[in-house]
Amino acid sequence: MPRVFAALRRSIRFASAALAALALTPLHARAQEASRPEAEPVDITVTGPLGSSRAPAAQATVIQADKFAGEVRSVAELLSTAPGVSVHALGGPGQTTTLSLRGASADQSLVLLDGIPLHGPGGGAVDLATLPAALLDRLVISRGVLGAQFGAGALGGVVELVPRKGKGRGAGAQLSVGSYWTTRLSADVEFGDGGGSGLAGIDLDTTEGDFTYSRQTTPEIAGSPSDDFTRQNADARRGSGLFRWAQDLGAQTELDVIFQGSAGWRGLPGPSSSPTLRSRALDQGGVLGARVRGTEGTVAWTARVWGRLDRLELRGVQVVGDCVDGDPSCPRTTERSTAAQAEAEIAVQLSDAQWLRITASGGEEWIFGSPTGSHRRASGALAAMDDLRLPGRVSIHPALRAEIVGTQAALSPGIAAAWLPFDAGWLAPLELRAGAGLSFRPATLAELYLDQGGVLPNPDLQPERAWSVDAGVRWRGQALTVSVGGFWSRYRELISYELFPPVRVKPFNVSAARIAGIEVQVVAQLPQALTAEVAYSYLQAVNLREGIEGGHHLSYRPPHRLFARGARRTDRIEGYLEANATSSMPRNKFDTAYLPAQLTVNAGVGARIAGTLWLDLEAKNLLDDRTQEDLFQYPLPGFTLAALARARF
Amino acid sequence: MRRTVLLLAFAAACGSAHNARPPLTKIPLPKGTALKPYDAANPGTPHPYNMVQLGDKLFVALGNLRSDYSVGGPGFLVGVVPSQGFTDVVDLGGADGHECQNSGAVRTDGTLLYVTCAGDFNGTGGRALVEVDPAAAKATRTRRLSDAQSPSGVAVTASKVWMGLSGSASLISVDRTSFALADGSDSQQAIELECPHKIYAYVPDLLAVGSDLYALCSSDQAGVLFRLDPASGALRGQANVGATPTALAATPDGRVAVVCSGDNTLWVATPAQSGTITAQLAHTYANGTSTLQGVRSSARYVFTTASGSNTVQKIDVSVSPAKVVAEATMDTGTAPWDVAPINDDEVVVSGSLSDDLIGLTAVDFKAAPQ
Repeated sequence: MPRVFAALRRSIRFASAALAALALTPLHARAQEASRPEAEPVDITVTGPLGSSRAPAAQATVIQADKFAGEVRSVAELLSTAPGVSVHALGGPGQTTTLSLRGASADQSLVLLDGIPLHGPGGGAVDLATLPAALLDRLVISRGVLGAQFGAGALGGVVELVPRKGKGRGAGAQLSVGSYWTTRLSADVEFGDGGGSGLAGIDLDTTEGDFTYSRQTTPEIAGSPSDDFTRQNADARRGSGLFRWAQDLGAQTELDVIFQGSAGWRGLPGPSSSPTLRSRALDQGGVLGARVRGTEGTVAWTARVWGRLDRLELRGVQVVGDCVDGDPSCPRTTERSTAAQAEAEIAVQLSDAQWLRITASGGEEWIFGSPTGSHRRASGALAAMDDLRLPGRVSIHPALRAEIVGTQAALSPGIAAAWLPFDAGWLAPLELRAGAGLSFRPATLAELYLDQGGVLPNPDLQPERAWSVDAGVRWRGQALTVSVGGFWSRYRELISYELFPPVRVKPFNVSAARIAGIEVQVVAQLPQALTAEVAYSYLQAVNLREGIEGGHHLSYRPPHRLFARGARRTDRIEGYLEANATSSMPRNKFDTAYLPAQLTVNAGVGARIAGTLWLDLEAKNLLDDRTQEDLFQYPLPGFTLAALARARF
Repeated sequence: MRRTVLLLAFAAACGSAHNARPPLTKIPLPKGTALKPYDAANPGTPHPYNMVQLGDKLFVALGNLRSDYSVGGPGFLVGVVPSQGFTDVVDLGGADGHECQNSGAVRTDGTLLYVTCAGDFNGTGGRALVEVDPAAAKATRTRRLSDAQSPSGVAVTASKVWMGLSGSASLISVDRTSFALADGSDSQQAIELECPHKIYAYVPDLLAVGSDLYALCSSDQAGVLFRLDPASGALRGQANVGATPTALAATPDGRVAVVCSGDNTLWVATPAQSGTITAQLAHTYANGTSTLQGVRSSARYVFTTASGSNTVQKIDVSVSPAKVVAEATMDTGTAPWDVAPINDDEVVVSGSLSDDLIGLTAVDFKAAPQ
């Protein structure tokens, strides 16, 4: 039996999990088992589930965090190994980093931690730098308009961060020290008894961030040399913690509690031409959730409550440039956002080939901003998702969600299907997938109400809307997995920040866009414990707005992105070599300024010294390209080196 | 460092390139109590914006803003002899100190100076046009404007002083004789430019050249250069330019140069005898150049500022496409706003974000990368 599915089945204790398994392994597993029971399929992620249980036939990539053991990886760096993903970093380690899925903006992609939606303060984009990579088990990236399955906001897709679980007794620790004193200490302990198991972990990150970068100070003069500068006010400190406990409440009932919190303090260095040496940010955030789930016959049920609290304080920050914290004209600004929600789900097995899930949820969110006071809004949703297996090795997964966010209501339909056209032969692992979805993103409370100095709110904003279709083919052989997919999406009523003369900007529903692309991933299991993988993304993002912007490409969407990695991992040594190439991309709305193409090469090597103690050495940006920049002329680090030690007890 | 080289080269060039004494490399501006802060504990800094040359002096409009862009005190106009520093400080605030706030644009008719005051962006009042007699270094007349008439650009014609508004695609004018509001008064509507827009439109800059008045319109849908009758504001012609045009200037060969910050371009418009006007893309700036802000001309070259990349360009627009012949980088974070050419090689640059240590910076392009 394939190891992946055997492991899955061993872990299936509840019908809800069985439902997930039905969804996750709709046809594939059965075909694999039937044709090659000895085969061990190589998934996109090498091991682990094939995708999200909520969107079983969506184009998905699963990233196992332990695959990168011995490497210094942020959540953003983990995500950037997948096709369809683009991350935007405002500088080096510890600095604000956001996510773009299939060319959607950071606001248009959901990030969930153990199923709990995360948002930045004000309800907007999640800063990936605030999330603890060391405490994650895996990351599931589902691409497409998936509002029917996940709720409002999932226009580009969804990233599900799955925290580690306690698996018994044990402990582990990892320490890394690298260039510009970038240090990470993470440790965890697993505990439990017959009735339950838990995990507690911490992750401490710090960096001085004072890397050297190069900038051509006279860019109009061809061939003029670049000058070296040292990044200042880019230090960052962060502490994160995770506590998770699962307790059996009976033979068919389980209680699961999770807490994840994070606090950080960092400089906001600003663009290279106009650094902001006096701007600082403090943030604290956390989620607390409790879930009870169980089964009764052919019915599985889950009830869950969760709460989330985020706080961001900015010091020395102004509309343009920085200022002296404490000056009368330089007040500190604080943004707090809070959300609480309850969710219930019932899944009914209607037949051997069909599960129907009904989900109801409701909650409220609050925001407080020092310039604008507090605001709140309620939300509620009712969703139905069907997982249906048809004759001919076809499965379909229709879903429909009715949702109200504040005063805005919308229906989000979606459907996905998978088909295994061959039941035997070398084409048996071939799987065809297709999907379509329509959904919306309500304006965030910050967009609606929060006066952020130079950025005005607009309480009249309407939801953004998008639809997409996608299709793909995947061939999952014994040692090779090839996945190719394409998508086409349209966005309308897009919120665009427009100049609000004389000096401010304000959001309006004025834009539209067409985003299409191709995503390719190849994973090969080679002899000598070698693994090779390639992820390629092509993106065409066109602005459809009337006027002078129309017909131009959307800025900061790279048309081509290629990630390639080779790794070897045995019980004594490990190592990897990877390259991440991003094509030149527009830096403005008119295709007249571009961010140059970038190539980053990273490598690492390590060995098990004694017992479970591993020592690793890792180098990033081996080409020492100090001219790399991300959004808004924020420089990125050149060559960096890190040493790591890790052990499990 | 390049800056040191620039200074040394500049020193070496002193007295040889031209007869006038060379400008100070750094030209301080009034600060602290000299800016008459409304709240001594929370004063403004100069925030130098536009400049105009008259005789041997540069006249610089000072915003006098706090770091949050709130008004720190009355608007000022400062007379600067580039080789000596500031010599005249003209308080534009009037009797109550609040008549003119956040002064930004300044033009001259060759004798008098006219300064626009945009007012407090976070409040009301302070919108005005002020006439200054440079010989007496005094404000002679002030025309207060309504809160809806926050002026941006200004141009002086024979009979009127025209102002573009920052909140709409409108021009208003003040009669030069009576100094009363003419276009835009209760009895005479403002000139509305037909500038396509859905969200916003405003008039960032104006220019009077010969018998023409030129007005820029910047909107979310278009960038348009208008050629108007200077007496009536009647339309003579118009031409599309790049996105988010910010400033315009007469070129040495009688055309009109326009910088556009939205799409990083320089356009040159050619007025025809028939009264119409056409515009051509002259230069698309390099990827590293951003947020074009100002444009002015010397006898032979056009100079532009880019506040995002902290750079100033010297451009030959007599060739097609236009050619950047030299470029200088400014002190980090100063956000160059306007440029005032002293001759074909030397300019003075106002840094809108510079603090009170650096007000104006002189650049000698002979020492800059060519």
